[in-house]
Amino acid sequence: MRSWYAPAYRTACLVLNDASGAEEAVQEAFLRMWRFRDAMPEGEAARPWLYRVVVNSCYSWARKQWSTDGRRAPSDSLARLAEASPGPDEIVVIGDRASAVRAALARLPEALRVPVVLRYYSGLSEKEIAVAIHRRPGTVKSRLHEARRLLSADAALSEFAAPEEGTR
Amino acid sequence: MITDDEFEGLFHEAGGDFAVPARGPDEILAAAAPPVRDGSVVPGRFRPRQLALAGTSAAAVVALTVALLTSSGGSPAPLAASAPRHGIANTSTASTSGTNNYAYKAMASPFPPGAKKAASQAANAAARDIIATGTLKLGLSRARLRGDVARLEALAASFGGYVSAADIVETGSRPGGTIVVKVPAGSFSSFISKAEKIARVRSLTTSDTDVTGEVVDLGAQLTALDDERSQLEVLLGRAGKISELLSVENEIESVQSQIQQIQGEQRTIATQVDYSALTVDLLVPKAPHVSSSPNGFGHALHEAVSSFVNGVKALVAHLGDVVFGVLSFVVVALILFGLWRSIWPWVRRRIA
Repeated sequence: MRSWYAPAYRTACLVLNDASGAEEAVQEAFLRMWRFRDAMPEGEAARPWLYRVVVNSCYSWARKQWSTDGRRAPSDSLARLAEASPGPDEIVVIGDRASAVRAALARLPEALRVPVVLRYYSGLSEKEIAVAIHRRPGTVKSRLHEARRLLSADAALSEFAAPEEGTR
Repeated sequence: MITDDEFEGLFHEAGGDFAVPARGPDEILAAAAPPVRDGSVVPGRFRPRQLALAGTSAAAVVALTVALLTSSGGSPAPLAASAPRHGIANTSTASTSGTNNYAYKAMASPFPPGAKKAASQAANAAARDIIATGTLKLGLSRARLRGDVARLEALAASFGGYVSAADIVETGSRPGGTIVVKVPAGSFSSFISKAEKIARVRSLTTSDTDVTGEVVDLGAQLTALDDERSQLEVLLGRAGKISELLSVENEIESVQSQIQQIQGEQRTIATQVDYSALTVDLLVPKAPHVSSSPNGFGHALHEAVSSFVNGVKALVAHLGDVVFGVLSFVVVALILFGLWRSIWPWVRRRIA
């Protein structure tokens, strides 16, 4: 469990863009894992299962925040976080690549942000992401493609792109 | 276009920027352990939902305590059930016959001097939930029954109320009935004042029940159940086995049933608080007895036969002893006569 905590916590941070919320969500996720430890798959299948619990805990935390604020859940869950984040120009001036990535992620729709975080930070394959977010692999593939397109078009991140464009 | 490798580098850089709390795993393991360890309570920073439930329950207990102290403690309850209202004491409840029927008329004003003060206190306690009910007994004639019922219905409608139940009997030996009128709580006193003028008042009782504590309690229960349902819905999505899925679904169904039950109770109480119910008993005096026997010759014949039968019955009843005496005398006489007939020849021979 201890070895899983750091990657789970950082994944939640990237999904929620909120450190305290991520801490609370991961705590809840680990408690759920403990409660349903008998249902945990064996071997390689355990990894997407664990991330699935973490992602769902993040969703729960986000819903709780909306209800606490007395507002209905917006279709784009972290739009308000993106508004509170520094703009691309400011980030580039500061030169903080991590902040630029977080801000770009916050501008992504939730449906795209979760798979892209699981893919490029957590290192899950498309099949494992499909298990984690309970979607078909084709859906995951299209969402990853769309997320890559939007992130590449993001002014803050385009500054960090290599001069010669690589494609996948 | 950013490559996959560049994305991975950027994301790891962004993720690594978050400092992992060192205490995280330990606190999770502590929270997963039993709550009491070596007689001491494990620090409860975790399980915010459970803390919220505990906080809600504590708030409900405090609110109930305050409500009970306020309603039954030293401070006067403005609309307590035992307080007389509209100038009629609760002791007038049983007076539906005899001279007590008219004791009500001796009261000049339906509102005693303290009533306005009580009404002011009631206005100050606007946050309280009070259910007001009453029973009004009206004495009226059979001829006015239908008209008075219609007047009561029209009066209720003029106050924004309605007749929720009616049981009226216009014919037979015991006409009368009962109607239940519901009017907005704010107009209850005015409605009673107007209703009293429709017919002669036999008695009036009113009662006020403070349900503030019950409302607070139901609200707290509903909040806790809503929270529990939300948590179960999250768990439902995480269920890995069919057995777990069914178990969580059953639990959600149970919680949902409790929520609907509490919501129903809330609606019922809200309706009772918003609309006060006045039960109006319509009392019609008993009609005088009218003989249904025929008149004329038939009547005379009927009475003659009845008198003859009654006379015979009376004769038999009164002469029973005389007949018994006569019969006894006859029997004794016959015995003596028989004896005399048997003895007389022997006596005659002796004399000869």
